[in-house]
Amino acid sequence: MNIVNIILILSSIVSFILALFVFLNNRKNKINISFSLFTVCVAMWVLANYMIDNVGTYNGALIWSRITVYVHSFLPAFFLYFTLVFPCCFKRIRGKKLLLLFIPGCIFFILAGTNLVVESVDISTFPVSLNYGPLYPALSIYIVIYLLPVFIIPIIKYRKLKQEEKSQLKFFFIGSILMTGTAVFTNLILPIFNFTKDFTRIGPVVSMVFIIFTSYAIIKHKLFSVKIIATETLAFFIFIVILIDTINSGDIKELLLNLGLLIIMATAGILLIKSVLREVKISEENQKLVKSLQEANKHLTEIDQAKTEFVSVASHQLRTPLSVIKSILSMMIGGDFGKFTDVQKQYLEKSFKHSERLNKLIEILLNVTRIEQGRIELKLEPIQIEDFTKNILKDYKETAEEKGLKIYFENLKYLLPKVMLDQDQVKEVLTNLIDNAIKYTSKGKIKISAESDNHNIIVKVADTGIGFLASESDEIFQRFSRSKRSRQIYSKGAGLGLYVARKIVEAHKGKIWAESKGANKGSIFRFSLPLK
Amino acid sequence: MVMHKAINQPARAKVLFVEDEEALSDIYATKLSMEGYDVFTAKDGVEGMDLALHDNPDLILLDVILPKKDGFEVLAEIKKNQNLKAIPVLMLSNLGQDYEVKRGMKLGALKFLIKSDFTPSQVTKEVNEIIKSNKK
Repeated sequence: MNIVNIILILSSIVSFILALFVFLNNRKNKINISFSLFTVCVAMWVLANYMIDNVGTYNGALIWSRITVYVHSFLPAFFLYFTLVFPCCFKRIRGKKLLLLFIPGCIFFILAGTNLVVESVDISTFPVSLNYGPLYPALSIYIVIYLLPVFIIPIIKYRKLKQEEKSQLKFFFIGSILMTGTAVFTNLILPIFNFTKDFTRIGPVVSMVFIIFTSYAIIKHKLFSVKIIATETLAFFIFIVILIDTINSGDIKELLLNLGLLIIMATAGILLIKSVLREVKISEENQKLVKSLQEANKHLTEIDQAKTEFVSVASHQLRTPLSVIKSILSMMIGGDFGKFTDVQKQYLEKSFKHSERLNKLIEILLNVTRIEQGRIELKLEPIQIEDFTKNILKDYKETAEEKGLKIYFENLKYLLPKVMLDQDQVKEVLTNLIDNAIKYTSKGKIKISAESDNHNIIVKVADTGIGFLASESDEIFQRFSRSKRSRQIYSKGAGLGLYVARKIVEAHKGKIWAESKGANKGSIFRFSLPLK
Repeated sequence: MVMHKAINQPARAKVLFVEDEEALSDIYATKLSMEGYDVFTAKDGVEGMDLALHDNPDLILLDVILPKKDGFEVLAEIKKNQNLKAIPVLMLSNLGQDYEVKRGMKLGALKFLIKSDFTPSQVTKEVNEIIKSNKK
């Protein structure tokens, strides 16, 4: 058997198998159906070409030649149909209108067995040469008319496709150009001019190029799920081999053995195929989930970004009228617009204080957005924590004493090493902790101290206030959080103080944590800053 | 352009106040002129630049967010101009983000103040100190 024949047989077998498994993959999908039918036609065409040259008899060669006409009656229609539905429907022609494509093919199909298309054959030559009848040019024209749109439609569709579909289409398109171009040229155009008939065998072989391109599209771009096809192909091959062996069994013993093997193989094959189908389905579902998660995540990121920008813009917009209010009030209090009575001045001062409070709140909100955007830039300096803390404490002595609380820094017996910190940021942490201690302590004391464990400086703020429950110890450091009891004491404010403090400490690579023995048993807040 | 002449005082140091918020512009101009300055106000970056070129102020208070041309652009132009580059510029902002402050200082601003953190008296105090030190 020569090389050409081997190639023809292989091409035919591969085409049949591909057609079968594409069909089995999704029996209801138009893409799968039309591709399978088209591929069956190609497979038959390839087989017919082999048979024409190798059948050995005139009648045999004539029959197989006319089989090619049967095939060519519908091959162009299937191919055009496939082009219209792959990878998605062509909007201008779809639905039942597509079936009209098959009408001309039906006419040729009816006449295929007559001598109007293939009149006779000459088996004295190799390869066998065909003598065409009067309808052959009409068949050629029909094929060309049907194949021309195959080149145009993908181009029209291309722009509207998604990226993955575009890749699929590109491979298919290149493959189909090569195949149809060569096939049309060698099988239709050359014979019309009686140029040479040797090239007629090239057409079917070149169809293998199309098969290869489509297979590549399958493998690379997951056209028809290659795992399933591969599994089914393997199972099918083994089944066929055992079947042939069974058919060729010498004696009853061998027959029974092969039959047994056949049944086992069939069962195993079906189970394997089912499990692969399941696996592919799960994998496809997972991919869908991953994609939707990615989209959800993208959406969330956009919302988060928008929220942060909104707070930034809102803070800026809020500060503008606030600046005006503060300025006017300060000038009135300062006597720039004349003298006010004591009572009037008192209320002006109250208004000024509240505008300051509003300013502070906006500052906190801005800080939070800066923190969340990761925009805190630490200006680290070596600081003596004792002096730093005592300085901040000075501002709170009066407030605490007004409430009847004792607030003090516990002096150390030894000097602590300096720690690298951002003064403004850590001041924010301390003021938040001290502020809270004063707010939530009605009597007793607030003690602030500092120590070192050689790796960190640890600052401690201990009070005799309302304390908190063990279940609340993590919660209080979250955004907008305030325990129920603390809300009863102080419901104003945003509940961001400890959250901000935590973020600042974490930015310093430190830790912040709190302990309490329970309700009304005071609390101890600690934060650490690394020494190196 | 609005000019607030010092009340019952001979013309002294000139301060250019570039701010698009009219109410704020008005209050600061009132305070500064009470303190004895001739105050010129502009409501956008283009007008601000024009006034800087024509009136040669002794100090400029410059808002960051302005229509037509923002504060940073104006600052950059002032510092590139031979006649204007020596004029001290105080930038004003409502955000005071690190990158804003850095940018302003890099472009040559003397100080960066957050409007809502300062009262007119406090800003006037800053202005007094700068004018005084410049006169020396």
